[in-house]
Amino acid sequence: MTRLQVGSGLVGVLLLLAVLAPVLATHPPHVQLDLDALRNAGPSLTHPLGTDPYSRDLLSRVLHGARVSLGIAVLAVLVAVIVGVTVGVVSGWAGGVLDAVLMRIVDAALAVPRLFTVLVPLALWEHVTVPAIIAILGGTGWFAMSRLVRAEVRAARARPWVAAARAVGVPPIRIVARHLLPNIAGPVIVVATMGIGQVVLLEAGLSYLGLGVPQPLPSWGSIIADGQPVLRAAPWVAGSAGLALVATVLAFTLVGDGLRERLDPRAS
Amino acid sequence: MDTDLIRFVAGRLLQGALVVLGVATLVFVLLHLAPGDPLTVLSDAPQVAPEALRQVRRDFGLDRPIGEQYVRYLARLVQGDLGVSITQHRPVTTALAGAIPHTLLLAAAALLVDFAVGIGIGVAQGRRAGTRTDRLLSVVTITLYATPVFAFGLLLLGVFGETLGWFPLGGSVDPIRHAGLSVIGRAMDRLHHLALPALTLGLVAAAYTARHQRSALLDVIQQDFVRAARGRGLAEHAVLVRHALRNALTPTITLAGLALPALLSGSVLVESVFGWPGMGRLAAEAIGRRDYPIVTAAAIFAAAMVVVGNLLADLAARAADPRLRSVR
Amino acid sequence: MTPLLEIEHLSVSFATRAGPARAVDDVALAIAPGETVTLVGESGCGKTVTALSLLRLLPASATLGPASRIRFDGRDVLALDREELRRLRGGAIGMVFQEPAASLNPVLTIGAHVVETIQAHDDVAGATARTRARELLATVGLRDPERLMARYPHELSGGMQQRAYLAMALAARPRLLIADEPTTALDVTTQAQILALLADLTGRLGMAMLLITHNLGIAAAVADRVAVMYAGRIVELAPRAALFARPAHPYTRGLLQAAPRLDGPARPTPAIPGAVPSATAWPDGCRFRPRCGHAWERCRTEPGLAEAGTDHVARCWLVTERPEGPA
Repeated sequence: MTRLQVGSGLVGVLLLLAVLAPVLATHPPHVQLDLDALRNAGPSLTHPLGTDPYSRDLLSRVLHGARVSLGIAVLAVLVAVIVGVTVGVVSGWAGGVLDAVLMRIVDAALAVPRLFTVLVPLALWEHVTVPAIIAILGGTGWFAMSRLVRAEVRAARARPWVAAARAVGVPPIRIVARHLLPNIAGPVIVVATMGIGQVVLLEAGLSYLGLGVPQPLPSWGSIIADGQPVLRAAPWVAGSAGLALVATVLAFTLVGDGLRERLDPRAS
Repeated sequence: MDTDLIRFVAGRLLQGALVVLGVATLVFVLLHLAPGDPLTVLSDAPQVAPEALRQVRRDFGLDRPIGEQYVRYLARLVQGDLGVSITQHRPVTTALAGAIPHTLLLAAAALLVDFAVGIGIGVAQGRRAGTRTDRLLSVVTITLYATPVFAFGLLLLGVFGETLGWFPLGGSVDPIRHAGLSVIGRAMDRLHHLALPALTLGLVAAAYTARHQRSALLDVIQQDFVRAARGRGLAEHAVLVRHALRNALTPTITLAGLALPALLSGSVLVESVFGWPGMGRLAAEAIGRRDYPIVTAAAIFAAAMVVVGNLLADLAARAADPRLRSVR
Repeated sequence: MTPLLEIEHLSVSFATRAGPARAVDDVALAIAPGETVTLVGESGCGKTVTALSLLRLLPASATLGPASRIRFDGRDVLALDREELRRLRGGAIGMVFQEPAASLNPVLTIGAHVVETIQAHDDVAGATARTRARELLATVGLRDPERLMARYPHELSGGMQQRAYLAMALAARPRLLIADEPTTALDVTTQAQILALLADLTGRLGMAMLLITHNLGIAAAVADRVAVMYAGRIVELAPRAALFARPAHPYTRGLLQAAPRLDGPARPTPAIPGAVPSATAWPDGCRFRPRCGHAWERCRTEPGLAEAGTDHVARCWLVTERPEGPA
């Protein structure tokens, strides 16, 4: 089986699990079931993945965590794509001072390591909510995409048939929509797919540090943080969420790799 | 030293300075985009009297026009004044100065692991492309690539630290015994504490490097000059090392420049897992306390490190590939 | 006289998505010591593959037909072990490729290239090797060899690169030089210079040469004998004068007619209609039949090589037979 098939299958399964989480979960994810007796219980029939130090059923937490982590990642990447493509098109088409300014901003932003670009707005935000996280992750994730799109737009703009269309008076928006956007769709999709995997990791890291999704909303990262103090005694806490993370990122990476071979012949 | 090189370095340093300036500007804009001013975050704190807050605002010049604030901000930055930590009550520069060397040590050690393991695996895969070994190693690298660095760190910590007891569980030195050790003893203690964090960061980075190195080697091996070298009767070993590998390593050296931002991002998480007293952990803790001067200073400094790192990687690439030396 | 190189029943196939591609199909050729044979044909006819197979430089996806035989100086090339093959390459047989820039390692100096080639075939110290390198570079007409040796390939012009590569190919005094389109990537003036150099060297060193080209003019300039290849087969083989004066195969005639001429009035050059077929699906019978103006019933069966004169063979029924019935 090709990478694309394996990856797509896995992504499909994960999305299904995420969507069906409320149905599949046996317990509400934030309910502490029995403060003493059920802490850090190992996997059993009633609790297939065990329980965490707060007596919460892990299977339910991991399933709901899928909703949270995947939901945030997909929406954040959507934001990044919209902003990135828009900025890239505007910058590439308009050229001149606007292009120079925008690209300087992009250069500066790309010089800062990704996690730091997320930490700075996070430090200034008063109450971090899920929409805020999506906004911050998306708002800091469009830079590379805009460069990519800008390069494509500039190359296309120089083509004779585009010059001809402009000379005839075709409004730029139509030129962009009919000629440019279809051409960049391929690379954008590839970058976006890989981006979902990267944002899942990023969001997990933030939640691990306690800076991400607010409690008691479950995120795979925060589940791992919960599991750290009891790593030897109850490895299944961190382990279940850890495996879920690896599987998810692996799935999106495989799909991204597979799509790259099919859609973007220029990439090696 | 030839003038081409000097011009290149000078040009790049200037560019880099502009980039760092740009980052500082972005930070400034962000700070002032937030509703209210940077001190609003403090106004919720009950122990801060409104009158005291107004005084602090005047002291910091926050009631001045924004243009003037920007200039003063830049002026302070150039002089190395990064502000005062809100919670630690000491200059940010002092806090960073203590933490940055630890991050640099961790990053350097991680880069070493990254290259040694990544290039080793990548080359091994490239030579045996298509075989079972190659496919197996691909599975390993892609899985490692997908593993969150903090989860991997916890795994190593759990297995080699807690269960097997081979490595300490955190920190950069043994808090109790370090002072009493000999010079060599202290170095060994540091290495002992460095091992797991460096392996965590380095191995995850190595997964990326290995994938890259494999395709770089495959690209080069197909090229005509490799076949031509064989056609001249050179021994297979010479063909592989002197011709194929020499050329396949150059893109990996450039990759090192690209790896630095990822290493710095990763260091925030790895330092938190292992309690490593570096810049990353400093920034992460500062966020929880809303101590934004530290966070913004760390971001600016990280950008500066990335710029320098890229320059070093480009210099290394120029040294490796003579074709790059005639470029601007 | 025993031939220096004997090729018999050489077949090479490549595994492709569209099925096996028989790039070279039952090719036979012999080269005598000191003789220059040019192998002429359009791109896709299998001439480069033939050349590469002589030194076993084909990629792993290539398979040689079981009946293939290559004998050099009496020895079976296909049976050589790794070390013997290594010694042969660049040793008794030298090879020059089409794109000199692509044949040189961009990170090594010219000097490093030549010295390493010398030392691969001769156990000499670095200083001796360097002296030999300078001599070799001078032999191929490069001025100021000392400075040249410190240069990198990208700092040289195409012609200089090819001369430098030639110097390497000659380092071990080969008895056969395989030159695969050595001038195609160069401008016309440089082409002429390199050809003159090759002719001069083969004469002086008593070296045989297999020169591969798509340009009949080049064949006319340097060849002792000419072999014409089409669709993986040799379709004509003749001494130079005979080939140009009395071409026996319609394809050869088509190539000669298609060459623009400076004598006589300007007229459109007649091109051979059609295109070279794909190696995954050679036509049945004579492979040139779809494009041949003289094709007739007999051509449904593939012809063998028939004698068209002294030392002159052509793969066409018209050499020995006449079509029956109205023309």
